[in-house]
Amino acid sequence: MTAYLSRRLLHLIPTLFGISLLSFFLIQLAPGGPIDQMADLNPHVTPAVKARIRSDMGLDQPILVQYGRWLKRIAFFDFGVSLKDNRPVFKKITERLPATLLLNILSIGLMLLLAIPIGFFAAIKPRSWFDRLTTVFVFFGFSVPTYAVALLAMIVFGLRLGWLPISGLSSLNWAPVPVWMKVWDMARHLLLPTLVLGLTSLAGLSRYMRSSMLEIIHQDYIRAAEAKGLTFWRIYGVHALRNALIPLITLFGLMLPDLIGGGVIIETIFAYPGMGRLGYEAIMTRDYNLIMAITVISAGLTVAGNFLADLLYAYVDPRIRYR
Amino acid sequence: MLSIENLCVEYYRRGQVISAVRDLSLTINPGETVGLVGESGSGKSTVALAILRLIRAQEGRITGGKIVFKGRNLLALAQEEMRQVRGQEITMIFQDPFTSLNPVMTVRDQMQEVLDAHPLSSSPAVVGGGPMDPRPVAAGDDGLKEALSRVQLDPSRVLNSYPHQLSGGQRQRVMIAIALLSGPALVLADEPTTALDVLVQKDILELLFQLQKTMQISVLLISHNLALVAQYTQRLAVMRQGKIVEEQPSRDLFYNPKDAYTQELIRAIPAIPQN
Amino acid sequence: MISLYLERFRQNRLAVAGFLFIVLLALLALFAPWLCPHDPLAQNLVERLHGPSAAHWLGTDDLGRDVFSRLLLGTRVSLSVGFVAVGIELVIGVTLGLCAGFFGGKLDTLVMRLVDVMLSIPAIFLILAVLAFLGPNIYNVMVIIGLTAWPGLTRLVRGECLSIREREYIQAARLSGISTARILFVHLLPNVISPILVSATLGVGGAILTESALSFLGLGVQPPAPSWGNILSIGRDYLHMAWWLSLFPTVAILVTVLAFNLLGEGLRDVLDPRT
Repeated sequence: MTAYLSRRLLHLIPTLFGISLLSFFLIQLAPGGPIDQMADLNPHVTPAVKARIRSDMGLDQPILVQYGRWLKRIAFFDFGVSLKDNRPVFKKITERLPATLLLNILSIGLMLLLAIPIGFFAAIKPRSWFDRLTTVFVFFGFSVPTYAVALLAMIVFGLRLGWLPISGLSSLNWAPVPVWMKVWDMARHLLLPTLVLGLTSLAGLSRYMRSSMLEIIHQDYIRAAEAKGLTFWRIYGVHALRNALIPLITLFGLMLPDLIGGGVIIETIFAYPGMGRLGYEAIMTRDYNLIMAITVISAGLTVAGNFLADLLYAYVDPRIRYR
Repeated sequence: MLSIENLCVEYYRRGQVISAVRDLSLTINPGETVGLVGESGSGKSTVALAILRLIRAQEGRITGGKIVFKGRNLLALAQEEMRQVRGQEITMIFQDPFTSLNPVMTVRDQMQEVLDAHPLSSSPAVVGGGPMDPRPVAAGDDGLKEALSRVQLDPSRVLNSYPHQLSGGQRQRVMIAIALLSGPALVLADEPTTALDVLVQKDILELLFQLQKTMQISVLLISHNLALVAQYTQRLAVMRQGKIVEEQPSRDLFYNPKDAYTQELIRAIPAIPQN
Repeated sequence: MISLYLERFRQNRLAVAGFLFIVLLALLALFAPWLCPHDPLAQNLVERLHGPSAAHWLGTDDLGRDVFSRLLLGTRVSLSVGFVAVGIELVIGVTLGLCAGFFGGKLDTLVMRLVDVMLSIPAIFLILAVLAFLGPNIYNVMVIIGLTAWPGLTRLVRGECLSIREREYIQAARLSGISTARILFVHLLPNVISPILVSATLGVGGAILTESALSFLGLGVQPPAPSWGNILSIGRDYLHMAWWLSLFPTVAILVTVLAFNLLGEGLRDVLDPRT
């Protein structure tokens, strides 16, 4: 197992490098650059001043040197300052990160809670009404645009029925209210975004669970378990399920970037104060430092998540744990 | 003790219905080893699956006949009653030891669960009903260890292992141990050695029949290898396309085959010419 | 061979329905300008934000333009983006995947590292950033969607190659001295085609979803040119009073992507070598 894990760890390093490289060069695509942005709004900035600022920011150095310097800085989490309000980028991100993590973790939890049983029961009774119904649901889940679902949900639950708030994470009179009410308020705000974010990934996961289970059920050791006279739940709930869940771990790791990305759209629509929305705003306002930072950090989170998935996989599958 | 009468089994394959077993009758007496031989597709494995009612609804179904075991028709039993019979009174050993054990569970778990599923088997008085019926195993780890040493495995090493840490021969021995765990009256051995190397095959069969004698179990030995089966059985039946074409005491069948098909099978056994 | 596939495909009614719908859509896209009851770009401020009526079947938007006509014209956007993006994805993804899978070694490592990097960065960021920097228009949208989709396909193709490469017939071909290019295209590619075809079909649906999301956010097709996504974005501003601006584009997107998904899954069932 240690051999497997150290190999995986070694893989991380070039990947992280590649991510930083890609993010850096992504920004180079931007027309003009930060100076022009600032300069265009300020008539006092003459070409001479521009040149001064250029060399101060090190933008007149060859591109690779710029990259090297940037890389050194971000190794210490110094992502520079936001071009919008001059606050340190890293701080801006850490302010919003918890909200995004909360949303993602809840969505993942919801997804797993629903997808595993759905896939499980669909596989046990293939072609039953349950299986057919859930298949229909899954197909719709794959085909529907998430932002549209978000909109429709907002119309139905927020406006027509007035049950749930449709933006932000907290209501206006936040401060003077007891803790449990704060939590309840947060929960109400979280409900729609979480549901919408999780729902579409739910389709994929439950489908995968179903096919994983179906494949396992045809294995010899399931028939052998039946021959031992074990109960239905022992055969399917223990023997089959344990084997079926293992490949799901890897799949889950692969779904992470989609989750973080999907969060961008959801957060924007629901005006949720998370990192995804921050990224969208950063792109719209050409806040380059912020854009680079968010790209690197989300990708880093994905890489970390995948590594955790690998860890879990190695632990759970005895064929890897014990050589 | 076990009497199959006019068994008929159908399989579904690609929308077609195939008769896998036709009007088959066979008896197995207490303490006896009966061989069932045939080529691929003859339906021999199906017979074993039918006895334990392991044929899945999507695969096929038993369309007729009776399987009488100790006075009860197994085909008429309720699901729960049949479940009690499986793994306790009639057990099965499967062909491929590499795929018949669950890769993510330890040997101990896969053995203990048999006892957990059939709690009564721990108390000798309830199992079986006659002097010929074997003793079941003591409770707890000791019972499992005893079962493993019975099949000539090192209990402390094997008990906590996962299947992938064991060799093919070792895995098959584990399967035999599991099959014998609750003191069954009948063991169905479906090509137990086909997937193993030649020398290991012999070891496993020798082991199986030694245990059969000491524990006084009945065995149904299914194989496509006529020579092998003839050695280890008292009676032998030859199957072809779902029917039994000949059934005799083993020696008689091997040296005086009456049926043309049986004769062909025997002729097909490679022999080194004398010159 | 092909006729066998066609027959199986015909049996999957949903997949056939999906296929027919796509054909219909393609025809609508082709003849859209002649089929529109109103000029999709004609503004009519007197009639702004009217609900569905006899004159405007699906209502009007905030500038009085006919929603039905705009949806019809938007079909062109969706289909062209879908097919071109997937085309780009196929060219890059299949080539790299074949090379990585077949040649292995350093090339394989390099390609897979690149794939890992690209798959770690949420595609949305890259797409939004590039469109914001280079300007949002339909051509950039097509290209950037294709450029972010190829890594997934490369991984898939490489995986298939790896599993096929070790099979005997490939080794036999190599031993006979057949040239590498020939092996790649004549032996390897045909076996990899089925998963590629399935992936491409599903990919068109995905590209359409992405394009509509981009137009919704204002970084895709710019008004006054109609796209299903940008009609929806107007709908967002008038959420509480013009439900038709949200509902009809959603239905259009949903049914279209569903058609591609049904077709893709149907193809998968038909081409699966296991059945």
